[in-house]
Amino acid sequence: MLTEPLIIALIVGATGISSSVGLWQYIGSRGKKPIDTATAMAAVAAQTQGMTLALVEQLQEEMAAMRTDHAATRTTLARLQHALRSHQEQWESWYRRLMLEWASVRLLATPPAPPTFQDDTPSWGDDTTT
Amino acid sequence: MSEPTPAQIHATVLEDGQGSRATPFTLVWYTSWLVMGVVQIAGGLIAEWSPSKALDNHWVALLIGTMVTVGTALMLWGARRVQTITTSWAVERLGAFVTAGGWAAYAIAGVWASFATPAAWLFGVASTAALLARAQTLTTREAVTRHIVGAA
Repeated sequence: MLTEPLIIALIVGATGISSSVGLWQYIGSRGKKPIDTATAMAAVAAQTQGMTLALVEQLQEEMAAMRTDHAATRTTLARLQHALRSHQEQWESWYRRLMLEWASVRLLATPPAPPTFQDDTPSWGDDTTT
Repeated sequence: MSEPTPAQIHATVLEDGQGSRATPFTLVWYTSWLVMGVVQIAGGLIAEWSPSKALDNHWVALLIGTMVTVGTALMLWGARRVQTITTSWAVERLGAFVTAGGWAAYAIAGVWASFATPAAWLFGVASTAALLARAQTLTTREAVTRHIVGAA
């Protein structure tokens, strides 16, 4: 378990290691060429501008591609509309014909009622002349 | 320091297009830690000078207090303008590591004093993690800036 010497070693170790790492990084950074704030800001601003221009360019390319896609879609749509109109005309023609046929079938199916004859022909068993 | 990745450059430039200064929130955060460090030192000194010796291991409080106080003072100084922006970052990062050491010691001492009371040592762990994250942010920022300036 945790004993006092171990805890002391951990505490001293943690502070020592972190301080050493901090110093090592500090010395490493100070060993490099310093950059003043104005230079850094100018470079970052230029980078931002470059990134913005790149983004605009990319958006323009995507818009051009979308425009091409849109034109192709419109052509397809026009073709489909034409096809639909043709189908509609055909269907209407067929329907008209069907209706006519149906009407004729109906006329045949329900023939006019037979005429009612005023029939005075005597029946065979009703001969009064002989 | 390795070369920054395009994603790091992108994120850093977008997040920090105007040259990276510490925010007021960061300054308040550092100042509160500075006060806590001073309180730790005071506690350690009180224990040292107390005839009753009510607090044991006062040297731990003194050590933690010194680390946190010195570290946060460095961070506050670095967060202000120090010569060049790279110097500012270097000083702030040094302070972050020193303070992180102080809070790590605080966490270890908290575990030792009372593991069953996690409020104290969890604070130490969280503070250490936050400081290491801040140090990493500063390292990345410096690498990105050097890369951009070198490329410009």
